[in-house]
Amino acid sequence: MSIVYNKTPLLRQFFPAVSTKPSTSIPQFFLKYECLQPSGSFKSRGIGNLIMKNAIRIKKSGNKSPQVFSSSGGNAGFAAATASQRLSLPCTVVVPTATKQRMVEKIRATGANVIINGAHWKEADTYLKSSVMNSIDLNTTEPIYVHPFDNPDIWEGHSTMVDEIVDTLNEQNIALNKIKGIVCSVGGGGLYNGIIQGLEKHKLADKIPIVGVETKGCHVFNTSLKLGKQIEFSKITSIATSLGTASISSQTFEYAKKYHTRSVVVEDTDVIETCLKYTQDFNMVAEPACGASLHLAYNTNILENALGHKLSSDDIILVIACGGSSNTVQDLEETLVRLREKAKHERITPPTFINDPIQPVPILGRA
Amino acid sequence: MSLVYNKTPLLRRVFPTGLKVPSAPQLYVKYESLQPSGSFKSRGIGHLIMKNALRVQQLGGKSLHVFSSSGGNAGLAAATASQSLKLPCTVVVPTSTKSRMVEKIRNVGTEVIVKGSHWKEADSFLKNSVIPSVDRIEEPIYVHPFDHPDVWEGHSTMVDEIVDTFRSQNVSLNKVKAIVCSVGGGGLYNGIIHGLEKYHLADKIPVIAMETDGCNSFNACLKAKKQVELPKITSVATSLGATGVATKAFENGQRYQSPSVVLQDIDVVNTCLKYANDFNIITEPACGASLHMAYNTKLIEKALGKKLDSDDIIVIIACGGSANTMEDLQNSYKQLSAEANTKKNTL
Repeated sequence: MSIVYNKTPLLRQFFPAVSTKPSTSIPQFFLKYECLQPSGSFKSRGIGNLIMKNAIRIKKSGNKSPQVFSSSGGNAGFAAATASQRLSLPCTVVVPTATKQRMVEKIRATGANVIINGAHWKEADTYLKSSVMNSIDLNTTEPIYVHPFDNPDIWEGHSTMVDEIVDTLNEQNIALNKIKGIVCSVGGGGLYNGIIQGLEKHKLADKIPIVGVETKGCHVFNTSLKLGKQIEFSKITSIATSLGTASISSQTFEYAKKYHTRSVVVEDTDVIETCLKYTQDFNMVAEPACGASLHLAYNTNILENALGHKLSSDDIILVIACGGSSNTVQDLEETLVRLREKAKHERITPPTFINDPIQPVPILGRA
Repeated sequence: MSLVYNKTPLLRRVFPTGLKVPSAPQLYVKYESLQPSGSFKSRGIGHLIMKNALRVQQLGGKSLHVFSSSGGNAGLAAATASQSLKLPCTVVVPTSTKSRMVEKIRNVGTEVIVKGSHWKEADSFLKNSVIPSVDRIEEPIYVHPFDHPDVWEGHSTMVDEIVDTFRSQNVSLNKVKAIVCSVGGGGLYNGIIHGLEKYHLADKIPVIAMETDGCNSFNACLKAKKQVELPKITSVATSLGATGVATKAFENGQRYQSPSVVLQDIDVVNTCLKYANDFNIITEPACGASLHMAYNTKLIEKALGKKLDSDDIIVIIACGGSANTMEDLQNSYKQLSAEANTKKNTL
């Protein structure tokens, strides 16, 4: 048992199928419930591991006391704050101004000091490193900087998920060769890296393919794989803010090439509809980042396309329900309305009149 | 592993209350919302159905047909268990049942008949018209929502898991100072008592019985020192809405002197909204009644008649339940607030 993260259940779940497929051609879905972590997302594992490892190291090596620093106003910041609370460590989180008030309050409620600075993550992170961390007394305090995803200690922590999955399947006498895929969402690739490392440990990385899901507008992973080289986006346009990082970790790109990881991109509106459906079906609120993976459980044809073969009711697909606290049901509903309005505007394209050059062409859809 | 219910996690949780209480007890939540039907009822009702399915199968010849008259979590539990066991299932629900619940039950492959203006009428129609007309090759099994020893036996597996979890984490059971659970008809409560008795803990660990004002039948019995029925249900916690508790629940309550707490609807609904905001899980008022104690540990101390400290452990049964959406909770809260204001103004 760990003080910073929870062992979570891997449970069979029945998804009311969108299509009317016969039950023999729908795979069995098992969900790993990472929403039950102390911070509400899988990040408690990796970030908890990073903090705990460093806190132990600092305490052993001398008189200094550890202090935790994070620059995320999202699930990573919340994970750092909850882990620090459990370990009774001081924690400071710098969040960008765009951070929802709800998240600021959640992080503050753990006892962490929250500073609001910067228009987006990079600015908040710069402020954290150049101003906040610089002004601590290094004689008495040793800082622990928590990157949201790009650190091997984080991937090591996330990999515990796979240990639990293997244990559960063994306990229930389910043969590992029935597992035909693991579906997980990809933001910066921290979760993905952790799963690969966990699978490598159990000599399964070559046997069980991962389907990495992103949303359109922050599909850096997908674009990098298509271009055959690691690229960065200059801007994020998806509403799945928890996936919204301009670049993936290099390790993610390396693993994906090595293990032929499948990559799926889903539209924002489809993901939000799935989130709302999931709440309706199972009484849990998922954010779009998590909904991206759940979407494939509701739409097995997308899954089959990604894996390149049909699935049957003998096959098992694991879905990492990564969790996440950034959205309420109201947020999801409002975002969906807003996206649909936007789509309506964009669909009205100007008609081309070839017979009347004198008449100005009316251009619709401009505000 | 069972076909009809899930082993659920028992996890230590910190409930954000905005207050710094260093002496607050440790809270462990048992996540019954992760059952196949979304509530703990999957255990007991699944067990009753499976026991009978095995019995009928061994006798040979006939096949089992499952019948229920609940448009709530019990009906959904009967439906999902039947789906897993590949058995036909028919549920008669009163016209007052939300269409959302009717759809959920139908989506699982169960036949739903809408009849009767409230539970008793639906139940009578089921027993007098539907079950008698069942095919001769089928043996009907009537599933009572809570009043059956097989149901309590199934629910008691929750205690096996709680004991296992604490043992595997080297947590001493004598640190557990109470188990908090909601009481409707007393099925869950009986199941927990049954489980505790198995481990010789029923005398050591008090079960705090939570109800809401307006369906506080258990509290009424304990106060009257005899089994009484409420004339009607007026609470919004419809899943707790049994006018009378099972006799066994009353007996257990007297024998073990279980502390009985009654909460106001508005406080419980407010807790549900808070819980959704804090943990992204939508609960019904029936479940909120128990969660309310996690947010207000002083009420636990009051119920137990003693102070608690940070070494003490309280187990909260988050019983689950699918009857409410966020919108339902928000509308309920608005209505209850309006009613409270009206009362204030008329005083």
